[in-house]
Amino acid sequence: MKYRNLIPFLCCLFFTTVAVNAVDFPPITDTERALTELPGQPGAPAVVLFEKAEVKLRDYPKEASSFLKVWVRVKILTEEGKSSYGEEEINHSGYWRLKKVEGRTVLPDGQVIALPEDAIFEERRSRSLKRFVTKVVFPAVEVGAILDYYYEIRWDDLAFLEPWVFHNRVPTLLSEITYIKPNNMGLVPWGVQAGSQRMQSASDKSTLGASIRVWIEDLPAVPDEDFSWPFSDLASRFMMVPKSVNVSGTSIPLMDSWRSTCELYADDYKDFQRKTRESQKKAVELTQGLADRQAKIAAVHAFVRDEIQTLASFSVSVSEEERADKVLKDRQGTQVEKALLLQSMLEGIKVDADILWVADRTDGLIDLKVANPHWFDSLLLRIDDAGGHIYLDPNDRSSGYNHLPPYYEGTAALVFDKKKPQEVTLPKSSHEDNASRGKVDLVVDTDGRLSGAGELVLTGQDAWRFLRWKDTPEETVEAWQERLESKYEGFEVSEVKVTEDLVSQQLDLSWQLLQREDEVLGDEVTVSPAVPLGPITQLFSLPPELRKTPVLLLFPSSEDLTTTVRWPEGWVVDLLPESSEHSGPVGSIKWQVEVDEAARQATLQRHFERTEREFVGSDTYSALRTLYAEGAKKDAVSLVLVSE
Amino acid sequence: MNRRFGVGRVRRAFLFSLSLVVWGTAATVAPAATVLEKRLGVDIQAPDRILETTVLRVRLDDVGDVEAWSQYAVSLDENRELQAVNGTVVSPTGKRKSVGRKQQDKVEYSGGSTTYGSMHYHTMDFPGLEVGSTLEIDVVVMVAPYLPADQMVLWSDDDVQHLEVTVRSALPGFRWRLEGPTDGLVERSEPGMVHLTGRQLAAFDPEPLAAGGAASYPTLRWAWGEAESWSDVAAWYRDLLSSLPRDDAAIKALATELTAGQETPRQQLEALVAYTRQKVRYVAVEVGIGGFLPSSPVETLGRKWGDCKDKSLLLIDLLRARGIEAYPALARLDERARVEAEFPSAAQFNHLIVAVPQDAVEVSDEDPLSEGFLFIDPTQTKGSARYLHTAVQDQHALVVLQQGGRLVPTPRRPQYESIYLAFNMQVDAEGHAKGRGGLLLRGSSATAFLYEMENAPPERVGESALGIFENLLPSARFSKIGWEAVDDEVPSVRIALEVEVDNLLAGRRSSPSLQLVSLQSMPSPRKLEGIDTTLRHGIHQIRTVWTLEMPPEVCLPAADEKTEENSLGMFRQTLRQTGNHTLQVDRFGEMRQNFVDFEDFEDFKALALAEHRSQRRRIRLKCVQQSADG
Repeated sequence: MKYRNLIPFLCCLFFTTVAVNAVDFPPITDTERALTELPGQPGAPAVVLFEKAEVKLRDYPKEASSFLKVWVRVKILTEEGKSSYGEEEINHSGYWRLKKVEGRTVLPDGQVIALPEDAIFEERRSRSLKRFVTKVVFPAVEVGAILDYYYEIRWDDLAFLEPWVFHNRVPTLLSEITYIKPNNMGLVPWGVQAGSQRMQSASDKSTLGASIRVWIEDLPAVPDEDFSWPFSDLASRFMMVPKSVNVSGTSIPLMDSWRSTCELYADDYKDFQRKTRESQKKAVELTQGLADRQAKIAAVHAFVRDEIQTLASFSVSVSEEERADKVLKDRQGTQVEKALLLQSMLEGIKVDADILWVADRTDGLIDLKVANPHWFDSLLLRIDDAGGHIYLDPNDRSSGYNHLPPYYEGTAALVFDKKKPQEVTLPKSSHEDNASRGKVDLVVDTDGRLSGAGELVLTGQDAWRFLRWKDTPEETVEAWQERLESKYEGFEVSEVKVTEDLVSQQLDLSWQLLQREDEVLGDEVTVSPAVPLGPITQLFSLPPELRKTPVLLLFPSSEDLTTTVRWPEGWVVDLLPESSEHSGPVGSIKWQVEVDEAARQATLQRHFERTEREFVGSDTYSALRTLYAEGAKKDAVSLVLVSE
Repeated sequence: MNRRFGVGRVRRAFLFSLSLVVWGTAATVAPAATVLEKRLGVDIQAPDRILETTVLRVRLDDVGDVEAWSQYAVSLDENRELQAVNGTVVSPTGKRKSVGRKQQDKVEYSGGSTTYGSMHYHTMDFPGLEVGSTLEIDVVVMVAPYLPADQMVLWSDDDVQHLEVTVRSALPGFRWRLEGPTDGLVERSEPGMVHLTGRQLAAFDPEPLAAGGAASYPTLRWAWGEAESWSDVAAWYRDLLSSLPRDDAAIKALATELTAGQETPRQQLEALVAYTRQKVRYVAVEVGIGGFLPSSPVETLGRKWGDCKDKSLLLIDLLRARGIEAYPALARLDERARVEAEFPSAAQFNHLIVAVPQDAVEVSDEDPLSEGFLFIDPTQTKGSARYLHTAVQDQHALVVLQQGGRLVPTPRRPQYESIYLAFNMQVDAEGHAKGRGGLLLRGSSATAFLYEMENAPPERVGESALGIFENLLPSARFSKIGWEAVDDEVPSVRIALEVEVDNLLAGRRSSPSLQLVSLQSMPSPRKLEGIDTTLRHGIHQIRTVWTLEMPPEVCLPAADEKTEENSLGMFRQTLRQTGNHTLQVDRFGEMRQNFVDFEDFEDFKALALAEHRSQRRRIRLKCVQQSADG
């Protein structure tokens, strides 16, 4: 029996806001009217007085649809709040049907101005996919005004798989969600509390079914800090995942476990891979003449990655109509379709690969304790290899054989298997894997003109940043030339050579330098020995005592650069960076400087490493900030030579 | 092709890039494909009927092309109806496949400044693309024009092997003008028709500093009918506005209420400008002709939101209600391109501001005045009527008078866009410096900072402020940072902090030296190489002053002043000794116009070079007094 029609193979919900009841707006209280600023949160442009959501899940098969009702009240506190919160957007679709939108502006003097119909605009983002955005422009918004709005969405699935997010970027006095579940459905609650405000709940029974109300009060604004964790990691969230539904006395498992969740998707995946003859033929054709297993896998992977265009998708579902051979023929497919196609093609050359459901770290942490397929947004392949694993990303053009893009490293993932799914953590690279290593040799001539050469080798994620940076070798060289010229102010950069190796995930770069004639001073030469890898700039200006959120960078990395400068007779060192080292818990910066006066040569070796990518807690942030401060300070020093 | 006067605020020159889509460029940028054939036709058949045709054949040369050309979009609107669209993919082996209905879509998207608009797109997705494929695209659009004029930027970042553009008109008064870099284009014309052809045209890859529009790209403008002068264009807009109800009692009552107690016309004007700027929020809704025609002032007043047209017309009516004459002024809000004064056409504008005759209110030389008008942009939210942001400075605006109209250059006021950085420090015998630093921002940088002050928690503001100094002086230590808005008619902010710098004075003891960083006024001379067209570098003033009390054993350099000044602006570096063995280094740069024409290029380079040289060489303090050496 196929249950897939019961469950939400969902397109994403993009609710900007969500939350409860319907029809009349509750009266405005004296407290709400009097509020002008929130203690401890000065400058907040607005405050969410309340946002409430009510989710009534479909009673299958008696009812045709589920619904979500959202009721929001916002007070404008500053001039900026007018433009930031005077308009609202509601995303919906042919599937998530917007049934009602109402709103009003209540002025500080109590005057109520209803939201006119001609201030509600529906934008059809795609006619064929039936995707819409409804925009609401509140009238007469001024500081002190209260904006009320309400909307209602209906859909035909049994579940609502988007977590309710309690926090906002502005303070929120009350945020709550109520789930009303039909008696024949089992739900698994999941919640995470960010911050000290307690998540509270109450259960009830009504004629509609059992209900659970979950709320949090007095939530501060989620800080918007540079290099911060994603918003969702900083917000309290709650959801109810459908475990099972009882139909005619039979309990049908839904998202009871990863096994049952995988089962819900397995049929569609199987159907997609039903027509694979052409795909497998293509795989054989691509690997003809290749004896080595790795070379064969790499060839098929490269084909799917590069020759099949990636279409945007936001879930792990696949359309019932799509087939592997059609994706091959059309040369385009979603991330999921490309992964399934690659799996089919590998099967054609007798290579078994597992499907992995994966989640981008920059979209937030996931929790595999609940079997919610919505945690994931893409698929990778994993192949067993000599006791270890090979990973293939069919969508990222910069990732070669067995390379994971940094946003998947160290994340929780699921090996898709309808019988024995497996929770895994994807491997992560170290700072030593992600390295930039180079050397620059410079010579001063008797006229005080600098010339020389440089080379760099980038590996791991450091290489990933630039592999396939441009589409053609010519464009790549041009881009690197521009980048080097921006680093070497005052120099002509020439003979730039770039070698990209996607399989070993390495990039080799070399160049020649000649100081521009009009830059030559004749009696003074300044060299910045940190270039081109440095100089470091301080990215973390916020003092540790004020930083509220953890730092998330893309990957740890390390840099090594040796700069050699030689000069002619008659020139002397005027200013020399000192050998120095700063080493802390999250990395180090080290300069080693040697001068050979007799040979008229200085060698400056620079090593910088940042050993982590996530920095949680004030001490760790402080160490990171110090590392960058020390790096910026040490990199700022130049070598100056003068003629005597 | 669908120009609207709704591009309200500085960041809002968005529609123009979208309009290019119509003329045969994919919605996404195609980096390196080869356009084998590009034929564009405009057939002006009647005042309300224009047939636009596009024929394209594009060969995809690499993987990037496949991605970039996977979708093609045709821009449509209430007055732009799709008549026919066909897409075909020819595979490298010659197999042809047409784009089916399932691969076509209608997409509405109001991005940038527009909350909602009627402009939409018909998209075609090309299936089965691979390197070596050729796309064939045919599009026919029927247009009922809102304006008797239009223009086409013949931009392409792909090589074009064969280009043909034909604009023909069955209507009287047809005129056209081709501007910009036209190398490789051959023009042929006859009454009622212009025909351009080009072969083997290289992709355009303008330098980052180059101005846009006709300065960088061939631009064909055309118009028809009787609007042959700017006065005629003004009459067209006046007629358009005449359909709106004006002279409303509510407006008059509000104007009276807002100006109560304000005695002089200038005071009244300031009160009304402040109301329009601050109490009516910017929201752009542009449906059909609504892209050009404002809402009635009473409607704008009722909902208290509107775009540049709505806000301007409301301000005009409020001013007129107090007996202060004011006119709409069609302007171009464009950081990169200018109005072509020689070709009168409403299609050149995208913004509406207000012009007040300077004899209607008290004015001073500091005001944004030009040719007898005080220019006011009601979409600004900071500053008084004295402040006109630089994006509408140094352009042309068409003042729509009661009778006729005048094309007037908008003012240039570098002093409104200034940054002043100062350090006052004591340097000890070891070369370490300690003291205070300060930054005074005016104009757009201050506006951005003020927004942050108003909307971000103090720690976030402090982070931004500190970041400016940390990037300037990475080796320094900073403390006690503070900031405040300055009560000024131009948005202004002051930031101050304490600074310590190790080894500011460094080098050999016999000849210690200073490397004093400055804010940059001009681009690096290197970046000016290879530019052979008009470039854009905004109006501004930038000044950095280091005042250093030096240790007694160090000799101070002789007073010196180096100045480079020309019609574009100036750069000056002054070294002087002030009291208490103090050295002052003062660097001042000024740019007096937004655009630099090619003939002024040498002057611009001279300014850039003067600034660059002043900062490259360390300031040497040639001697150390004997007493210091012991």
